[in-house]
Amino acid sequence: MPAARLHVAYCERLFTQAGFAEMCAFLGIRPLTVDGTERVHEGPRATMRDDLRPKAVRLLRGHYDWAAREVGPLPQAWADNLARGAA
Amino acid sequence: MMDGDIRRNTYDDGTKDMLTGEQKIRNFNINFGPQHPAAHGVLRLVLELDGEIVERCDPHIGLLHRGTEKLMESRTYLQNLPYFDRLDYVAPMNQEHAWCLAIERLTGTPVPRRASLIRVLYCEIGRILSHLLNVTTQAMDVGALTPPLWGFEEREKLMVFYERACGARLHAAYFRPGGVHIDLPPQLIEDIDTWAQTFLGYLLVTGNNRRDDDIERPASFEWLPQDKERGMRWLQLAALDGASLPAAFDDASGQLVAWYINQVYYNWETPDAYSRWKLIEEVLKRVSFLENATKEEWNAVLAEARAIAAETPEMTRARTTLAAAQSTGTTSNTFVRRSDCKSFSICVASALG
Repeated sequence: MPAARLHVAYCERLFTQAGFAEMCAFLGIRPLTVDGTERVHEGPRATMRDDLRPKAVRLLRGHYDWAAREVGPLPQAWADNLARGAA
Repeated sequence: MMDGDIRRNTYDDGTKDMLTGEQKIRNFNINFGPQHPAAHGVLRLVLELDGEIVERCDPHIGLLHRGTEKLMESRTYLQNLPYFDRLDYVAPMNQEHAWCLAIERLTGTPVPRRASLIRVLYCEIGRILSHLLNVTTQAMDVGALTPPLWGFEEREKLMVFYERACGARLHAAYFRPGGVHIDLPPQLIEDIDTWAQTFLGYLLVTGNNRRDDDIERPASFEWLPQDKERGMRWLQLAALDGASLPAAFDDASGQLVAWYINQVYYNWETPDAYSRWKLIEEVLKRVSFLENATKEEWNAVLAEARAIAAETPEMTRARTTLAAAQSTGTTSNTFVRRSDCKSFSICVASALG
């Protein structure tokens, strides 16, 4: 598929105003204003214990590498988490 | 004489059709499904029909099978869990529960009390989700188009409870071997409690949280409790079958929550469907009275219904079993106390709260 006809975006980017504007531009439609900050039916936040982070990184490193290689640069938060887990 | 039968007509001049030796009446074989809209892709019946009479039925099941076991062979226990949501998308967490219970039994993994209660609560919600779909679409099968829409309206509220617990409306992936993924938000417990109370009204009385023009809706279900068999459907719709019905009608609700959990884990005996029907029948007789009932009036009706239901040997036996277990200390009845409990879900929500 020609690269110009494919638009890939992670959720973290898509549901921001900038990410949404990019998608609208790709689709050739008028940009819409979105409020990516509103959270609906939100549950409690899960926090990973620091002692588990290295194990998780070891387990999932291959998946993240695949995503970065095949889909595109990882969202900054993902990259930060990987760096923390590897530290 | 039915369609397809060979007719021998008589004409104005008195003559009749000739019958030849080549003309024979035979049964008709047809496939019902797998593409029949009512078969939903999961069932194929090969039917032999004599007119409208089904003489023989050869069911072929398993068309929904998608090789889940084979996929699971190359994955870990945890990675396999989300497959169970797909196995029954009407009550997904109930399937997860089965998987988790099996792993916990194999590995001897303990489950925290609160996590166990959360799982029972969501299995009850799953059961209601399932019954709402089942019973209301059965109404559709006999020509009533609207009940499924009412059922789905209530299902939608339960789907929100799913989302608030785990972030997903359908494919929850919420249970874990050893517990659940994450605790529930405190307000969610309260909201489930509130929902459970209004839901009982929705089922039994007037749909008291509805607009006036919706009030006749439960009346459309009046045909359901008219006889024993149809009454069973009512029980299912109310999600009050199984052990949760006695729970709903016993003000010592903690005992009955324990009963349910023990039934799940120790396969206890429960009253048969006829006993349960006797109980709900007595309550349904007083439905109009209950519309604006006070708590005391509710309790009086329930006490009377219990007394009648207790006359059935099955109910007596089940209660005796429970009492015996409690006297020997094999079950706990201390973690729930809510005297105005009207449904099992309220019991568990209260326990969690």
